[in-house]
Amino acid sequence: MPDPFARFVSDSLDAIVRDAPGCAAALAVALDAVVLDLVVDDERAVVYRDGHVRAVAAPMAQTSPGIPGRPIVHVATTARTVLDLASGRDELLPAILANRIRVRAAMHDAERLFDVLRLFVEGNARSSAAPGLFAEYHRQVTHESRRST
Amino acid sequence: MIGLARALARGLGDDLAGVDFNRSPTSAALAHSFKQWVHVAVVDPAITLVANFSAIPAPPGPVAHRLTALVHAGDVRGHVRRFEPERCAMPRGRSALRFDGNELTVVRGVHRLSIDEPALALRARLTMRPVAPPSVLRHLGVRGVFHWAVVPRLHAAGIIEHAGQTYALTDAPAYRDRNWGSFCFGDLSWDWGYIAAPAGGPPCSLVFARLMNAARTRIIEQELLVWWDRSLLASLRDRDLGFECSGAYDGPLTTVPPALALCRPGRATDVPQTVTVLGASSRGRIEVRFARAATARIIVPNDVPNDTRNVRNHARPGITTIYESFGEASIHGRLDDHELAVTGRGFFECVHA
Repeated sequence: MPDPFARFVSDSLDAIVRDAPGCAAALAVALDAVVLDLVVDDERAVVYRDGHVRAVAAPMAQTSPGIPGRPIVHVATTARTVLDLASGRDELLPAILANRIRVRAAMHDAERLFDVLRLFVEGNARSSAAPGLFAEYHRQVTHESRRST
Repeated sequence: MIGLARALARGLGDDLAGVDFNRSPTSAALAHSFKQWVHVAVVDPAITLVANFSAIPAPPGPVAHRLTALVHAGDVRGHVRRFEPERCAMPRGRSALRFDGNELTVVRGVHRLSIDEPALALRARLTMRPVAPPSVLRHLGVRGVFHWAVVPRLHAAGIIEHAGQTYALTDAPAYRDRNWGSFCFGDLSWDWGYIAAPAGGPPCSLVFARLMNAARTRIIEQELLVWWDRSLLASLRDRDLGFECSGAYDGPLTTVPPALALCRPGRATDVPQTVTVLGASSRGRIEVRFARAATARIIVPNDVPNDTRNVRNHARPGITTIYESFGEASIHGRLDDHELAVTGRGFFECVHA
């Protein structure tokens, strides 16, 4: 299935709106007009606010996935790092310092990224759908990685 | 002798049956925040196992049944699993409960704990016989009443298999309690601990607790209870007690569930390295010391309503971190005619919202 990361983020955001509306509303406030350009291995997802916070897959070749006039936070990492963070094998600050996660943005916009991440994780913790969505993402990326080795 | 022990276990079991059973909310107005959990700990010198069976509202869905397991055998490992409602049995008015293959029953005063959690490489088959009577405590919380039924000392026997090792237990000290009532995570803070004298040691067990508002600017209630042999030796409360905490742990922590560590980045905590509880009343004096050896944290989303005038409104964001510390403990003092000089293992939990 293509775009497993964008699908995981998009489906999780829908689940947060359904199961944790308080977190969904706080997510929208935290993101505000900022657009997140997330590159995970060879896949790109764009997160933006349109009422609620939404996520869509975008082509890798696209140089600027942003919405005109909106500030962009660029994040690049690997699926392995995403899985390690979710399982507690890695921590956010060491991952950034060691360049396993690269963040490029104006400082005040980068701060929003961390609020959005915290609320995204907390919203998922309130959703009964989250374990299944994450398990599916985990299955897809580990399956993909086995196929490519 | 065996007959006497069985009669004692039956008698304590009958006492337990009167206080420790699966509850349901008694107020429709507070049902949205009604929480219940059963906490069992087995404290063997080689391994400590903590199992917590909880039933907590998870709107808009049904009550969420979760098992949280912590194992301390050198380091601390932990795991939490949520079960589908149809795979859980927690019949009202009964003590028994079952979450899929994990089960806790009480039959004729004998508790049986079965745990099967392959994700934690954990399997346990234990029987536990109470050797001290249960007690019930009530706390007045911020929005409701919170109850606590404790069986302070049991003797556990059986096996715990963990991470490829098998531990055979004989008369290991154990502890069990049930907590129920209406409160919201995010409304309260607490410090709570228990101490178990080792097998073959003095027949002593002890619990202490203090309940505070979320900002920890006001102590709602505090108490310390000491059991000796088959009776409650003393209970000290409120102004009889003083709590002193020193040091703050800032090392790595096992987080359950691990992903929620992203919500509490960094190493700073206010988990004390030592806790001292000093008690003095007309009964005598007591000093309890707990020294932390290992800590894990359990993170739960808050459920304080966004609009406090409408408690059915959705919860506002925020998390509560429950720090669980394992360590060594000592009890010294004199209460009535009992000279207390006990060393053993202890468990300290702090919830500092």
